Amino acid sequence: MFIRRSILFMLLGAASFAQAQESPYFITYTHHMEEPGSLEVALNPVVGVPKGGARHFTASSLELEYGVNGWWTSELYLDAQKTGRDSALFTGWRFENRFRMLMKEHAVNPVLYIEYEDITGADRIVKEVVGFDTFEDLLEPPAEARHEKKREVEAKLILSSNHNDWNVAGNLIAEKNLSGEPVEFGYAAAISRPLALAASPDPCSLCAENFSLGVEMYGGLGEWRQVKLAGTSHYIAPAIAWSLPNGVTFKFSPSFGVNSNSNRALVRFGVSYEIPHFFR
Amino acid sequence: MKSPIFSGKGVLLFALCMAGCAMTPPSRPATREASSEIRAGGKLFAQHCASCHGVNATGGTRAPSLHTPAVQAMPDAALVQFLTDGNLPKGMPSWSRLPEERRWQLVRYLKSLKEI
Repeated sequence: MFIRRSILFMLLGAASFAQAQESPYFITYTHHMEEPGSLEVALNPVVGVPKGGARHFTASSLELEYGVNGWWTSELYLDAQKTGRDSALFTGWRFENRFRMLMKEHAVNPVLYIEYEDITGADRIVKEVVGFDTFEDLLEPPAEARHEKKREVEAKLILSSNHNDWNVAGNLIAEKNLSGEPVEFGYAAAISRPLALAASPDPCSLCAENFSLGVEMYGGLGEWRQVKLAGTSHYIAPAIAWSLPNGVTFKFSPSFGVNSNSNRALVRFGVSYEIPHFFR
Repeated sequence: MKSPIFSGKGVLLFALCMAGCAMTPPSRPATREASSEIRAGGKLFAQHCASCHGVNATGGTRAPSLHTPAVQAMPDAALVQFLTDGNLPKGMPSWSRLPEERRWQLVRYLKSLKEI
């Protein structure tokens, strides 16, 4: 108990030195990397409102994001979920690396993303939609779906731009299941802006400068030799982020399915702390 | 009975406020604005920069002092551009995630520091 409290106090204490300037996105990546040596700890639960008689679920990922240097960010995700009255399940892990390809700010800033994931069929985070993913993928009971192993490699081309204080970002996704299935494609795009551009002279929590608003759109693009928008699911998601002066950021984004293959809604929540100079 | 829109106490309070405003010594708007911008920049510095450059911007083991002639002599626009780009190979992050107005506020704060 004492050790747990000590760790909590260390995290909160360290977090009080830095303020994360977070984008409100949950799915779309931008060219903004984690600051060198900083560790961001985030918890991102998602509540699913599925279709087709599937039960509501709550999934969550613990994210540990570390700035290796100015142009390289690594991130580890640990996923879990709970569906209806079933017991909670650990559903796997993901490890990703993002490499910023241009060292200065340009009109469009490309970032290369590489991820390896080892998850089960019971994973419900829906970090992206690829291939012909539909609501039917979530119909299988978790107790059965957990036996399906998914070892996948995923690459993304992240293109992101800041123009007149708007951020516009687009991600092209290619995912390959190592068991031999074809390469699947997906996309994510987003736009956001802070509510106030200038900072006020005095410290404040509930002021416009600490909020940013945006909207995301994401979905599948079929698979190798069948690239198309039909037959897969698509979502639109307004998003808001609230960054507190003590380094805590809260995020909220309800995703709404926009076609018959999508789930009704995926409601995402997020809370994160940034700890500067971790291990340095 | 309806309460009057302009009650006696309300009128008195309004008159006192107006008198207070009239008695406040006029300050030059530009100076007041500059001071406010510098304070805002100082707040941003504490939030984003102090962990590396030190609370007083005097530098540390991770990042240099910002009181140096090299920084103080740099044109404002060049400093804003440097904040936008960062120096990624050397560990200085890009602050393009901050709106441009906030980068200018940071530069106004940096330029208010004494040259050492």
